[in-house]
Amino acid sequence: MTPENARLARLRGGLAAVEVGARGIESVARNTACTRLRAIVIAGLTPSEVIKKVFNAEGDAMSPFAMTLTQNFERRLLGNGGPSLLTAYREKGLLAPTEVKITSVEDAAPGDRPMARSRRVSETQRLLDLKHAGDPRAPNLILSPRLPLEIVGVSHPVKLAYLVASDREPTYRIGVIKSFADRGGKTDKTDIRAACREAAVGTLALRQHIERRGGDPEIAVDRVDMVLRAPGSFNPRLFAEMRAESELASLIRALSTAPADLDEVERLLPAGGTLADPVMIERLPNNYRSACKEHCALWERCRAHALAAGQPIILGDLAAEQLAAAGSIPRALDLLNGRGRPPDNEAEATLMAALRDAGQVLDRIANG
Amino acid sequence: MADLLHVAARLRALQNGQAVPTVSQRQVVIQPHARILTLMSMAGEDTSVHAAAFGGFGEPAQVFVVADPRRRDDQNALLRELLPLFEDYYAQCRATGTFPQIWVSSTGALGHLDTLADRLRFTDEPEIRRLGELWTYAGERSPVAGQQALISASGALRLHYATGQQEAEDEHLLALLTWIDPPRGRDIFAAVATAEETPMGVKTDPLFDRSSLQPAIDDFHKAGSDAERAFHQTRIQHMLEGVIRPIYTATQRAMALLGQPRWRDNPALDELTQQEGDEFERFMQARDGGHFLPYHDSAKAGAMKIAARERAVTNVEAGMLRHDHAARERGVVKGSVLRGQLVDVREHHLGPWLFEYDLVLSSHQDSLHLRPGDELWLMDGAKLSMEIAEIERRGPFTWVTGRVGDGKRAAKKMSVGPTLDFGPGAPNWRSIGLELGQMSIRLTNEPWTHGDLLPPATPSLHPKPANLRAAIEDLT
Repeated sequence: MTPENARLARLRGGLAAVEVGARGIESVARNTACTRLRAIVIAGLTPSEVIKKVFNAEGDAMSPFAMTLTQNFERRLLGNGGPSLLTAYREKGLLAPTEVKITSVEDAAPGDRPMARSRRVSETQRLLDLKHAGDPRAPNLILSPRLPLEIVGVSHPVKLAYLVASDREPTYRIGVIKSFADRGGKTDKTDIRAACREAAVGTLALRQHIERRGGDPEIAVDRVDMVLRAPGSFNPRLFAEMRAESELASLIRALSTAPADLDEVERLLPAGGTLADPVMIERLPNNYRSACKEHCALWERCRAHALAAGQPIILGDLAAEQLAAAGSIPRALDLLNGRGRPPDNEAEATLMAALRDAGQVLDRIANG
Repeated sequence: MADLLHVAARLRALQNGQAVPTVSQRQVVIQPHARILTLMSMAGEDTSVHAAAFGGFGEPAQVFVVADPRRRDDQNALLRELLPLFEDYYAQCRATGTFPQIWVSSTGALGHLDTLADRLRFTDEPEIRRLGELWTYAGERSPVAGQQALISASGALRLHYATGQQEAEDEHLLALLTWIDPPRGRDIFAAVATAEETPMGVKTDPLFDRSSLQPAIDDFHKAGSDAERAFHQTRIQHMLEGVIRPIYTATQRAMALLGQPRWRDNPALDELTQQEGDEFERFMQARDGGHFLPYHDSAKAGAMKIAARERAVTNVEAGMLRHDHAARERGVVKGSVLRGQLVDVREHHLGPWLFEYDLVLSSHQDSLHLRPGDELWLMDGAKLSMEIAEIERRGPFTWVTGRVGDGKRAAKKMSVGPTLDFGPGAPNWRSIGLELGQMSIRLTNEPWTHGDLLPPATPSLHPKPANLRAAIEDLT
């Protein structure tokens, strides 16, 4: 066990580490200011795992129907050597008829044991090195690759859907497979953004690998490929070379925000405190937002905390912004109702006047 | 300030532990014959209908359930059962010259119906295709401002109430209803948390799927006899009825709340009713004529639909500003409505029988969106317009002078003193057709800016300036 891993194990306080994966790392970028989420992910846990193991409640569960569908769609694309995925690329003219080299990392080292996972990492790295050395045997498609991503000095292995590159390209692009249907302009933009950010996690891992080998990380471009399902069928719809610079930038920004190293994570907890203790989890500062429900199993606890603390975010992002001068719901109510101590400063006085005006307008509106 | 209105309303709701009304007039048309449609899909299978509940306002639901919607034949059988319900309803509406109205529980349910409409109208089976086409009317209308064909209950309630929670949380219909009508003697947040445990969307709870529904469906597939299969079918039916009926009931409750006499009539909705009726008739005539409903619009159709949607936004806003008290007050706060005291009426005698009138208003609005040259219309009473000529700030007041365009006779009779509201002109729904016709003519010939061919050069007859750049710069 490396010293970092030993420190992480100590932080987890006996809880077994789980693979946070690209989705877990991506979720950190959705709420950069949430120290609680970041500390949990860095420690090798997920909010869902914390809910289950620490709070002994039901974590986020995926419906078995949705899970079956996702697995079947991925199997359809990545199974049997990936001919379906290759066809999608060839039909779009992104791979020439001669570019048919496919390697499945999962097939090379099957199984769920740590040894097999580790072998999949080294096999992926070997294939990447082939490509970067200009070896013509480098595959055009690497299916189910596994790459380590280093965050605050700790390596988090990330399983990706696939990597793709034509023979003339210097390195790979990350591909992500999502089983939701492509509905053109009606496809949920949040889902697409999340998928791109998930792929961007892979791009970061690829860049780190190139850098470790002494290459120029920028050859891994900020473009990602995404495969969705045609509505009502299992036919793939490929969206190649999608711009993901903003997703990549948000991810880099999120991962470089404090706590940016293990020391900082450890300092968040008192001596002897671990993440296995519910009190310690509650102690970690959170940043409850309206979008937390979409990606974090701890949202209900954070909401309860925000409510108890009278944080304006309880009323939404707009309220949090508008009531910033008051700082809390009780104070905002005092200003609205003209109670309590007089305004502390000019910002509060302005807010008080605006709130009272708004209250009067509201009376006129509602009473018609 | 306009944003702060919402925030102040939410603060009050939080303080009271109960939602507060934010309007006094009804914001949506409630058709007495409206139908409530609640659909449940299987997780991951966005284009499936696992269960459907259908009924009129105040009527019990007819519930249809299929054991496993992934079995195409079973799924189509369920959809075929739904077709006559909609076919009859649409026919009745057409016969009486009105439009059908479908109520669903939430925005998610609205999206699901739209997804289904897009999918079903491209199937091979004519009956299923027909159902998809009928649903497409509601789906295509749903993003258009002021539409009354497909109403989400949570969306309609949100137009009338503000709660003490986040806007996204209002999408859960039962939670929203709990805020509006909280149980007595119970903490509102505890009550809302309990409400949130009841699924109100289009999917069942994943834990319920895992513990109950999936095992039942597995049993259904493994059944060795028809009797056993029928038993499991009934079991699944009971399970899903337990999920779908509360959603249907909550939608009914939302309609009942909005139908209460406490909401005063809103004349702005009369125009929307008329417009929706016209749209429906046009849609059905196109179906009668066998016109194809494409999945993707052509560039031309897309441009026309965007233009129509933009016009609809303007018209709805203009109508609401005229007839809806709350919208007017919000318009005053935002500055899209000029509210001022008439301080002077100036008559200019330009010649025999030729007069011009200027109105001078003094307003103490903090925010006003006005520029010289803007045309504003008197929002109550006589039909009178004025073009803004001058805007001057005098201490806390803004003095606005406007030259009267239409309604000079009314202006002549005006006396100083009253407070007047000026804003955009009355909505003109008929002009959409004319605009689209004009656009169609323009789009018949591709402009050279969008094509490969350059138009032939047409040299100017004027002498060329010695320094072309300097001549152009002089123009500015």
